[in-house]
Amino acid sequence: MMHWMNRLFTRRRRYRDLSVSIAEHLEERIDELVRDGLTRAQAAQRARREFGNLALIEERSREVWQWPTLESLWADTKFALRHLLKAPGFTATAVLMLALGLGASSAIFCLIDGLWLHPIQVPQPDRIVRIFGATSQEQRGLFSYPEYRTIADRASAFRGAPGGVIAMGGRGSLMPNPDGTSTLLLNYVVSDNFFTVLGVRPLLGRVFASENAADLRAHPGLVLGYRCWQRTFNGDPHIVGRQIQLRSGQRIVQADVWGVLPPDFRDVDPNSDRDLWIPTETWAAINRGESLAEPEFRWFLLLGRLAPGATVKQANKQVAAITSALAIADPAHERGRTACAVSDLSYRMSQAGTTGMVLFAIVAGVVLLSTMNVAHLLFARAITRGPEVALRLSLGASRWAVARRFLIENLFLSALGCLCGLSLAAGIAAVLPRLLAGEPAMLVQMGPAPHFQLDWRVFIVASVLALAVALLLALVPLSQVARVELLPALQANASTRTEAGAPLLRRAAIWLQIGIAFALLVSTGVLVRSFLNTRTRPIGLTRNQVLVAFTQDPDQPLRGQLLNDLLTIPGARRAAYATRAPLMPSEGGIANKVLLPGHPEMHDPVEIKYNAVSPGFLSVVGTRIVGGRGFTAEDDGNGPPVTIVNQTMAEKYWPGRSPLGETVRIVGLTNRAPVELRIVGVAEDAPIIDIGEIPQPYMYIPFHLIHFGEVTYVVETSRDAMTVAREARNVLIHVNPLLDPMFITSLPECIRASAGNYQMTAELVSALGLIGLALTVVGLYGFVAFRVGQRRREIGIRMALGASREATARLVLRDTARIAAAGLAVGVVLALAATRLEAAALFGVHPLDAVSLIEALGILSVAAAGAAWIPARRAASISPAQTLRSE
Amino acid sequence: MSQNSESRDLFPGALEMMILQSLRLRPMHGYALVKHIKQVSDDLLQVEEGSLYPALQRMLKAGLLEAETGVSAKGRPTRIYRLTDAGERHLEREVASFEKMFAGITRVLAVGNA
Repeated sequence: MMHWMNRLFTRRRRYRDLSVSIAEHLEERIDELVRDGLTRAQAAQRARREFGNLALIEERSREVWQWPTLESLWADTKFALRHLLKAPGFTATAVLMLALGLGASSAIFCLIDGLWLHPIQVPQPDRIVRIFGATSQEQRGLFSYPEYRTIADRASAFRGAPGGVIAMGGRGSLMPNPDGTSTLLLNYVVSDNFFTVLGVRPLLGRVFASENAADLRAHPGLVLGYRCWQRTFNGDPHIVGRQIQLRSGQRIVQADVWGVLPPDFRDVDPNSDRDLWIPTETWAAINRGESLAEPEFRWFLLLGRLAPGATVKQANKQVAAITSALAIADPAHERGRTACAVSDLSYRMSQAGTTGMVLFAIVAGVVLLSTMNVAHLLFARAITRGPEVALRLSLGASRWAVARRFLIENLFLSALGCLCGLSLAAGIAAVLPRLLAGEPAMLVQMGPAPHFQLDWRVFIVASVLALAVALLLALVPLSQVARVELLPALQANASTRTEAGAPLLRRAAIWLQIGIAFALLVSTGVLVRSFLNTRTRPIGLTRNQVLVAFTQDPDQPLRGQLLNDLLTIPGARRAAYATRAPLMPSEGGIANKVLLPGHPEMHDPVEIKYNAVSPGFLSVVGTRIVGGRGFTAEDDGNGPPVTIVNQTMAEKYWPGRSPLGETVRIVGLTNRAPVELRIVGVAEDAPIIDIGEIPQPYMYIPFHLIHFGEVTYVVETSRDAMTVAREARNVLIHVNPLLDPMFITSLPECIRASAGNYQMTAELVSALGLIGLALTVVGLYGFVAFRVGQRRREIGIRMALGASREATARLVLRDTARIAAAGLAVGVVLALAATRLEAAALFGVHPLDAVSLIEALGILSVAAAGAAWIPARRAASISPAQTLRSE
Repeated sequence: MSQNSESRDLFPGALEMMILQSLRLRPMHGYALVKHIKQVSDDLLQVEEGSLYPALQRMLKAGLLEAETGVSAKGRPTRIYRLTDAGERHLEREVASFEKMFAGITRVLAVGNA
């Protein structure tokens, strides 16, 4: 090692010694020849000739002291850097374009990762599997606790540490405040083995495990989420072992805090968070009303960790078999149900769904555009460097050595572009949360604000992308090096080298660019219009200000009084209540088993979602009655049981005729006899969970028929609902502090949040579409300018022969139009494919939207004309005498 | 070595061996080395500069020689190469191995000529 380092320092001396030796050698030989009678000049010439290739011999001798590969790499690197710095315009443009492409793609990947793809923060997340129940109507269903136990006991794919099946059910708990009101805490009710199977370690204290079951039955305990610990308990370092109080009906239950979770484990889904993690034993103590033994109460999400050696396919087969066996053993509850298991990764990817795919495809388009632009730049430069390449080759450099230099230049550009791109992406990631519609605004904000940051996975994606781009771009100069013919290249004068047209590859690249830009513009058009549609199209709900408050429900007389009190708020116009309001963020809607007596062929009950409402509810939320009548006060009081169905249900079960007068029998009621309801009205379809969802059958029944213990009040207001929120809360608390709403929001907010995906997609695609258009205009400009430069001579001759300036300009524009037309042809094909892809993400817009196509056509035509404008003017101002003279 | 029908290239290691042996006699600079070999071999061997200098550098790197400042025949400063101990040992090994090889070749050729 020392020997090696020593050599480095003495190398200069070695080189010097060598030069001196050789020089002196020559001198001696020359003197000898002079003594033999030649003149000095002749002697010198002969001595040199006899010696051989002086430079080469000295070089070879030096090489003994070098590490040739490393040395030349270093030399190439220095040379590449110098070359790039000497052409700051080119370098800056290339780096900027690469940065745009790489930055945009990194930012979008960050977004997609943060929203959907990020894996669960547990050890070995690739062994985690999601188990869903399925019926003919629902593909991703939840399970009841008895079903969970059956699957957990029988599925051998999960048997054997560290494998296991865990259950989690989302609920809310109320923590009493000193003033009698309550704070709503979101929690998961989880199986005992939850933390041990997942492998989550606590930040403070400990987490419960299966062994603690008996202990938990005796003393209720739970685990806090990190954010809850910070926010609600102020990060109290002594929280472990303390007791917190939770409401259970009228009583208070004390629960021990076992521990606090670390900040990086918040939920199994990205960008989600829960306050409390409650074992089933503790939940049984808190919520006596909700028995875990209820076979039809399906509110548990199941996950499993595969045992060593098991596969997802095995797990899938097993859970399907287990549920089939269950369906036979317990047909009353389980008939028609099955189950499936999918890996967590494929689940997350399906969550990203169409939106993720659309974003990904659009970003790929932008990256392609920026790469092609840089390729154009490199191509133009490569042409001017032809003589340099030829010279190096003739001096004896191998083609590989020359190519290597170009490769290093490209890698530099790419690396710089990657760095700038990542900075850009970091900036974008910081502002992304503001772009997203997020959760509906509430009086007390639930849930964490979305948060995106660049982590190592984004770096890796960006680096791989940059490397791929560099290698792709290298094809341009490499093809140059491979093709260069020495003599013609050395002799050629750049300006005399005109090619018949630009090579086909280059033209094809421009066509593709224009095509991608067109597809981007069309996509922007349809996606923006989809988003705008969510704001303007009738959706079955009013766009008025309607306050939505979700709270406890004591009993009938209070409800009436509360309605009156709410109406006393200044600005309140109408009020009503129901089990839930449309688009409510807390859950997905309740369903029940229903039989249709008028359909004797229907043997098994079907599950249909429903809402129990007060008489004025439908008119307050703005869902129109399109057939029959709405509910009256009598319906909600002593009248015979009636129901209103939505249009989808009417068309599904009574196609072509009116369902009025038919009966519906609800059979799945707990502890109650089935109820027969007569259909008295048909309501228009309204969204249940999300705007843009596929409509499903839905029923409205009078509120008094079903009792849940919770109710949602809706109040139509003349001013902004959120400004009324505080007063509404006060009204409720004034009557009874227990009525402190679990959350308050407004219908416009829920609509806005539900359309969040459309909004986000529209915003992002617009931004990317603009970038894509800009890149294409720059690329087209470069291409046309290059072509004009190449054809200078031809243009000069034309003008000398009498062509007018206008004719020349028209020539350039016509040329551009031809290119644009070819590009548009490619673009139409790409746009059609793109909109087909996006079809699921559209709202109220047909994929073959003529308006968007025409808009895009117009914009692109103007852009192309603009790009060609300057080169056309330059062409027109070519002075023929000057051009021809410069030959 | 020059490439015509009358001359042939030296086998690998021959040049090094001869340089080492020459320098063992006395330290010399590059040109003197060339003249020495030519002279002592009665013009039978001619070293080309294109081979000499790279060979000298290789042997310097291997530590068989060392270079020091000296004066040329014309009185101008140049580098003089001298044998090191390691070079001397290397030379003895190479000579021994060469003589063995030469003896073997001689015997094979002698059989045919007898």
